[in-house]
Amino acid sequence: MTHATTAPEKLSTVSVDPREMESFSRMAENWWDPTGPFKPLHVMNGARLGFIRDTLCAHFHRDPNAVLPLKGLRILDIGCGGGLLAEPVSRLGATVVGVDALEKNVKTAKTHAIETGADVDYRHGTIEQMVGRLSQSGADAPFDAVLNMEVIEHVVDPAEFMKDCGAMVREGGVIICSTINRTAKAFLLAIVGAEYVMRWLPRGTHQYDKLVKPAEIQSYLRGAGLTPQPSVGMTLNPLTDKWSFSNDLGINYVTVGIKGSE
Amino acid sequence: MTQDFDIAIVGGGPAGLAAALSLHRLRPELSLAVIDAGHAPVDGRASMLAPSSWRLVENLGLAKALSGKMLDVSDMLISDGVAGEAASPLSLHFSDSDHMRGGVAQPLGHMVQNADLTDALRSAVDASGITQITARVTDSAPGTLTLDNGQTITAGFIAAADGGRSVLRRRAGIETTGWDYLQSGIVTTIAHELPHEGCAQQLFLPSGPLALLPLIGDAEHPHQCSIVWSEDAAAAKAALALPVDLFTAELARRMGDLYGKIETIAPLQSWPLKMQLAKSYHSDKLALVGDAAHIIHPLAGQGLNLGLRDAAALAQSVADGLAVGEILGGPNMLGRYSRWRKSDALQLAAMTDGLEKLFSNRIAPLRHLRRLGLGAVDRSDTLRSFFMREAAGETGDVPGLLV
Repeated sequence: MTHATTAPEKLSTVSVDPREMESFSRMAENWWDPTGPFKPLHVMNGARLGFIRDTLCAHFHRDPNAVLPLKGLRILDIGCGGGLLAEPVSRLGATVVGVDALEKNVKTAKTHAIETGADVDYRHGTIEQMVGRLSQSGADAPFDAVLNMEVIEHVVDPAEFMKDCGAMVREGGVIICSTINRTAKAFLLAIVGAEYVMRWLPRGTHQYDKLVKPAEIQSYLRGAGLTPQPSVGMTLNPLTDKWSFSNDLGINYVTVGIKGSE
Repeated sequence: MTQDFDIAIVGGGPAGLAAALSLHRLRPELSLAVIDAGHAPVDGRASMLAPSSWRLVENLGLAKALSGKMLDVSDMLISDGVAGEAASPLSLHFSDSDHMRGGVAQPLGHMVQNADLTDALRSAVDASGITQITARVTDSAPGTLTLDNGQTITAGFIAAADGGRSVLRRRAGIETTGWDYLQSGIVTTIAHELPHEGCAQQLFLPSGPLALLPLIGDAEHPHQCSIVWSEDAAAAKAALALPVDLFTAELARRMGDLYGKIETIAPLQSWPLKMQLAKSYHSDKLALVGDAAHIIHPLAGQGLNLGLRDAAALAQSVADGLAVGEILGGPNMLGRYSRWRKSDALQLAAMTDGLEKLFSNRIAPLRHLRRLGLGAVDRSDTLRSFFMREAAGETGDVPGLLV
């Protein structure tokens, strides 16, 4: 693997923010501890995986109740972190490539996959490197779906980042993008509440000015050649620790884009 | 020889068997093994299946096997008394009209002998193709069991339904909290002269509650009850040592002339009463089910029901987790099960413990208050229906197999 040796600081600057890398690097060993610094992602994981499963099954005409509902689908998880999403998606039957700019994350993800016997192709690198190699080879975009989950708020240039994601999706494929809205409510709950009051997330995990509004996501998707679907809100009930889907886009929300005109 | 399964269930009692069947029902593709040492003495107890437990029995396809062995309980009478005196006129009475579902009065519960329920569950496990292994566990590690027949079992996780003295719980280092009630429960079956008319009775006597649980009769003894007589440990020991006619006379003195003449028709069994709650219901690749997780005072008759709800909730937690790609037996899946069941068991433990403390007190003013309390609950529709739903297992988050 030639790309596995690329150092993060040499990666191009479209997606990689050194300050972000530093803060994630400090937490890399804790990805799979459901009570550790990534607890909010663990709590959210069931809901977002349910959304991914149902969205992909509806779009690709599959039975969501099958034992392997995503069997045969080729999926790219960009910004895969420790593999919290890539691994379960592979267990649902998909062929998954997980990519992260932080080598520590990729190591954590690979180690965990060995422990659990998960079959995920983890790679250290960036989306722009993948796009570069793809255009050099002249091959068709290889993925049925790109998962762009809780990552666009951490990149340097979200519009370019989305374009690169779009370049990796085949015609008729989808991008699923979840993120945090740039609203006063999100600032209060997702940053002040989660990072400073409840200490669910380490301080500095999210920076307010990098949060993204639904209209911006929609426009990035269009710019990447995808048709955006209406965004769906995700709301946490703090008493039951359960996420549900709603019309409230005030904090967390997810948007699906379909490549081509369909 | 090593054999690998998705889930290994240790313990072939009602909770373990129901867990195996529930898992098989929700995820038939899972490979399951039930491992049981196979020499448990016959359980002489009878239980009132709460409505939610009955729905599990139906959803697992056991209703037919149990028909003719079960009695619908149409009334419950809770009263306060002193041995040798008539029960207090201020008592609490529930009837099937307190438990409406879709506009129809539902039985408050179904009385069944534990042995009959276990037989029905075992036959269903036999028919399901679930692997059954008769052996004792001699050693365990996360996801691994060593058996005394030389076999080694590996599994995605182990469900420990190996009872109150769970070896697997101890090996996993899960501690328990609780206390001894310094009482023993004496269980037997009596035949009586007058019909019980489907009424379950709980007499709160100063030394401990006496439950009279109606059973289906037979030609020889048309009117039968299972009794659970809770008594101070020393007094229970003395009662158990009595010749059977004197034991029956002692029991009759406590029952008054409720059902006319009585006769003891089954062996006496007894065990110490205690509250024992595991601090966590899971650890690495291990989930505790049934008595391994919790033992509560039998006065509300909820022990078996709690175990059946554990079984349904475990299956639901596994199915929900697999549907979103979770690791089988991983910390997310088992942690969810553990938190879910712990809150239900704690609530019931607190309720039964509170009732036990309230009713075991012999101070006269408290007795009067207690009787007034029963009367007050009896007249309050809101309180009545709260107690009914709680006892029916219909509060909180209910697993799909119980609906």
